[in-house]
Amino acid sequence: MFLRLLKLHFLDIRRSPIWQTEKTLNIMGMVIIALFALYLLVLGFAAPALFDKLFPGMDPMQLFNGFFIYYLTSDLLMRYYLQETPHVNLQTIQLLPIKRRSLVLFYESSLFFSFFNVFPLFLLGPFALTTVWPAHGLTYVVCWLLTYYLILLSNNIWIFIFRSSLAKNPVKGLLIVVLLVSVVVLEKTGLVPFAQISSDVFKEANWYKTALSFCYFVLVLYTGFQAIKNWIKKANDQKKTEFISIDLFSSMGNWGWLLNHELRLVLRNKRPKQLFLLSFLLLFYGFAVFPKEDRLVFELTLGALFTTSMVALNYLQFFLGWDGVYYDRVLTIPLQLKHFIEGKWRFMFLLNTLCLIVTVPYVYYGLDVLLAIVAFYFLCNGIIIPLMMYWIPVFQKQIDMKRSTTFNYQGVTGAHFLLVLPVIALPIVLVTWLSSYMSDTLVFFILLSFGALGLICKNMWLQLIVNRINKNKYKISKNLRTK
Amino acid sequence: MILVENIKKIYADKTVLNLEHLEVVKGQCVGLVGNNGVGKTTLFRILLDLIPPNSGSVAIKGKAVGADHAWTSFTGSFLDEEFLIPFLSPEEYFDFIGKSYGMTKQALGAQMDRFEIFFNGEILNTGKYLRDLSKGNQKKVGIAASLMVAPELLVLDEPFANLDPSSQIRLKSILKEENETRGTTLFISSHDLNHISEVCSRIVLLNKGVIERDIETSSDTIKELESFFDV
Repeated sequence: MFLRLLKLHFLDIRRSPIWQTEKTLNIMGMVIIALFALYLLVLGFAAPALFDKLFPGMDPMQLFNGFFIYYLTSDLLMRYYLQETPHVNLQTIQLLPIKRRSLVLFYESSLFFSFFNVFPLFLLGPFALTTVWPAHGLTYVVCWLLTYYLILLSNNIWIFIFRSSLAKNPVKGLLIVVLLVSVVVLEKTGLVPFAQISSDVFKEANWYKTALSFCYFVLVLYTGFQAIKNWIKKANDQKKTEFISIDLFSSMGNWGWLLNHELRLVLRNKRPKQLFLLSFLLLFYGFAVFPKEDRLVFELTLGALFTTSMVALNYLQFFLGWDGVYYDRVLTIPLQLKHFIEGKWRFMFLLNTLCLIVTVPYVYYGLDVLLAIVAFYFLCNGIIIPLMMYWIPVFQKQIDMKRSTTFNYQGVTGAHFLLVLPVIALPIVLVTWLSSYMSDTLVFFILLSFGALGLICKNMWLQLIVNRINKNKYKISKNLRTK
Repeated sequence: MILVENIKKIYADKTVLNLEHLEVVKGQCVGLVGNNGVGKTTLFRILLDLIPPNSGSVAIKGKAVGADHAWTSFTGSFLDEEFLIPFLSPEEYFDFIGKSYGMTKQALGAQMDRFEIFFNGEILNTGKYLRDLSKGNQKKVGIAASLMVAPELLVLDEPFANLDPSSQIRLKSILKEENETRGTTLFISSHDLNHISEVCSRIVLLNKGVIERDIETSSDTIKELESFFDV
């Protein structure tokens, strides 16, 4: 029975409409996964040389052991945001005469069918081969590898436990980020020397430690088993989602109801909500580039673009696709298309303004940073947003809002990849090119002026967008009925 | 109110709809019947300008639906669940529809009271999203929303399907009242020959995309329809 269920699960994946209709995109996804695996593989082989260069004279094994705590936490973070929980139709399966225990075991097993469980081997394997084995022999390397891998594999279950208990409140999802930041801060301030502890704990690999690690894995499996059991029980008891009232913009007159509608769309549906949370993480990207004293104008541009615009741009890449499930309704009521579109633009404007307010403190790293951020704030609102609204609707498909956003290509078309060119590449190329002729300050002032001009011409933009949508209305509505 | 002239709809070389002439006058209540796949929903979709016909024209109040969006301001419609917004509560959905028709909160409230019996205490103030309602209750929301905007023309596709017997009876009363007291033009489809004959004064029978019969409802209508469908 257990194997039959697994077979059903594979058939479900293989015969899913997404797999059937988006073959090119799925192949691209596989290529990205293969590239990531290759990157880890190279890192695994190059680790000894890299350690030697960065920390000359230190034992690579000791360094690797010290870094493991960071790898473990990053793995947890990455899985939390990127690893999709298996989509299993438990409701249907439960109608069959199958024992609850088998069902729970089946679901727990399906958690392990993820690329995230294979990735660690690409890093650990080469390191074990090139460094651990020559120094300590075969028995040691087996113990070392098993100890690490079982601990990393346990993350797989932890993610389910975290999600099932925290998913109700998306803000709580940020706890994982807080955990990672805490580890880094506590280590940097010397309050808790995690690297040292990690290094000491994993210093000597032996069968005892492997057995301990195995016990830990079994314990996590058992905890996961209980969590899944409760989760299935709760899913049966309470199938309805909790209602959350959202009337934040009600006082905003003629636009309030449309802004409320957008906010409800985002916060009450899994996919846009996750996309927003992931996009908000990009606000921290500034810390990667702005503190550098010798930062290039290219880096400054990328930092400003990511921090001020990516939330809106990520959302807009599925402009109208989010509304696909009820687009027929929109077309059959006297809702002026121009008003509907402008409502979305205003929502994006508010989002961008929120991002701007949050990112203003980056001024600590220089006035030029603030200027770049403000310039991209205007450019995004006045040029990039209307450009996307003009370009994307014709290629849009209905977005399945119930599914996770990660590794999910449903609704993604080739046009979304092409969009990267005008939206991200063009501003970067433009800034880099212009800065070779004039000062960076002047370049950002020019961008700011372009954006402001775009905002002044808002009505012209809206008319252009509406005309294009009207011209292609049957094509767009047909596409939006397609998942 | 509605004028359909020479419309043809072809999918993959197959003609699914081929109507030479169909006219629905103001205040009339027309029922559309036919087996699955004869083109009922396709006709409604063309009428509501959701899909274009391959040829021919459809006009509401003398204006082609594809050229002028004005018909939306006096037309209420509900075809299927894609006319619902799943992440809204029923109240929020009514508010969304009402706002787009320029209705005030008071007018909307008054309309909601009108459907109290039809809702049977299962729609309002339940703290549920539309996606979490039963199929029947979702249908009630869609029908009520199309009625509460005080339309001159009401287009409903299979309104009795998924409704419990009590709600079907209540809906029949609501539709009759809407037609008789407000003079609303009704154009509805159904597989339930009894209900449709009871509500509508005229029945259009579609078969393989063409109008097979166009009859005034009388005491013999049910027999006539049953003899046609009894193969």
